[in-house]
Amino acid sequence: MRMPPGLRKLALVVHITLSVGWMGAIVAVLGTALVGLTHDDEQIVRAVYTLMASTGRFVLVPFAIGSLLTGVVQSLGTHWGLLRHHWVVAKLAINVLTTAVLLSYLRTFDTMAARAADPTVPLDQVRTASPLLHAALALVALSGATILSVYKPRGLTRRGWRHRRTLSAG
Amino acid sequence: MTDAGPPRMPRWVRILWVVLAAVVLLIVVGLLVGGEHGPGRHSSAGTSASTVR
Repeated sequence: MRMPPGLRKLALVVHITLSVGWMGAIVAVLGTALVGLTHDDEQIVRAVYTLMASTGRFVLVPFAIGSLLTGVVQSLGTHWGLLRHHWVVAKLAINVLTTAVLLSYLRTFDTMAARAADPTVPLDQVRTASPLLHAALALVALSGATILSVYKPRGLTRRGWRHRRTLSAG
Repeated sequence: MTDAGPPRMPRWVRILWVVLAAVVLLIVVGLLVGGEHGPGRHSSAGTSASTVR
C-alpha cells in the first residue's frame, strides 16, 4: 500500500497545492463578500453575488474535493495511515465537514445570485453577511487543519495502537 | 510482564471532537428549525411581511 518515495512526494505536492488553492479561493470569496456588503455601486454589489455562485461551484468545490481525495490517498499511501493517528483523523473530519457544508451551501449561493439578478429585489435584501461568515468559519477550520499537518501532534488511535502492536509482535 | 492498554485520547482531540459535534448539531438544528439557511431565511421573512401589508 505504501507509495514509493517519488510518487509520495508528487502526491504531497498535489495535496498541498489543492489545499492551499482551496484556502486562497475562500479568501477571494471573503474579499468579494466584503465588497458586496460595503460597496455603494448597485451593479457591483449585484455582480458580486452572481460571481460568488460561480466561484463556489467551479472553484471551491473542485479544490475541496481534490484536497479531500488527495489527503486520503496521501495518508493511505504512507506510514501514517488514515485512522491510526489522531491528527490525521482530525484533519479528515475537518475536511469532510467543511466540504459537506460547502456542498450544502451551493443552494444558498444560487439563491443569492438569483436575488441579485432580479432588479425588483431591493439592494438591502441582496446584501447579506452569510457568505462572509461562512468563509471566515471555513478559514478557521482549514487553518486548524494546516496547523495539524505541520505540527503532527503525537497520539495513536486504538486502531493505530493495535497496528503498532501487530508490527512489533511480528 | 505488564502490557499497557490502548493509549488515552489526548485532551486536544477530545476538545476538537466536542467542537465538531457542536458544529454538526448546530447545522442539524438550523436545518430542522429554519429550513434553508442563509439569505433564504431573510427572504421568507420579507415575503411574509409584505404579504401582511
